[in-house]
Amino acid sequence: MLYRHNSDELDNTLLALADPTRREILAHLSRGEARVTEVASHFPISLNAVSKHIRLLERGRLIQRRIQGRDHFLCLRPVAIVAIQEWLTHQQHFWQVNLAAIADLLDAGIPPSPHTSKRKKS
Amino acid sequence: MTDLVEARVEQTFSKPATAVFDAWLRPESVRLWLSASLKGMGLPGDIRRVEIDARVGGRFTWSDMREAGEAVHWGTYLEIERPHKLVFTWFTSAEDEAENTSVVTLAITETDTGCVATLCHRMNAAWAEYIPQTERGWGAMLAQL
Repeated sequence: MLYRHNSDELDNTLLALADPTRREILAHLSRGEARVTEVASHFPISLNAVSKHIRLLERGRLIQRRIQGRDHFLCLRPVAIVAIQEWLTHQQHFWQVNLAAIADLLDAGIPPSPHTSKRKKS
Repeated sequence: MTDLVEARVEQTFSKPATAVFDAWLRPESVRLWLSASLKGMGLPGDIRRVEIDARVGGRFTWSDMREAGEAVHWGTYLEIERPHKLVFTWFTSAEDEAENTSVVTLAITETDTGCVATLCHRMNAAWAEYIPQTERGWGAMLAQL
């Protein structure tokens, strides 16, 4: 848990939350799935500007988009899914870095240890 | 929801399977690579404890000092089949250990040029407890907007 603070994903999530318009979009979507155009109609800004906010929310893994024909529907992503993805991303990174460190160490040629031969015998 | 959540990574090595396998059970090796990898993650990599009882049912404890305190990782070896398979539980908190659903499987296969290791970290029932909690958390957060 202590090493979670390294996650870029978490940064993206926090960045997405750090804006009142985006929080309002989340509040709107908490009532259920909605079209992008419906969401945009609640804000006194251009569709383009709303789209930009929506992309940041998607990047922060807070909402997801479902495309059906010409319609783009948005809905909240359950926090549990975000938490699971965060765990997966974190653990994959952690183990990948460890395995790479082992590869580097072996390539650098660590001296054989007496422990290894002892273990072989027992 | 009892679905398994599984983190899986793969790494190729130019050394034989025995070398990679032993790197996990020799404390002096773990000390070296764990320190290097923690540094790679932007942490001090200041290893304090590397205790390994390398037998089935034996425990291990690895720890390193961080700004926020000593981070301790521990678990029990469930399978030790040198040099192809190592299975152990992996905990970083007392809650993890109480849930006891975190298992790491390291599988090593020889190749023409060395070996390839696949590491799979599985978690399960823990999420069953976690999900309703976080859903409530989400609702509470939105209610405050």
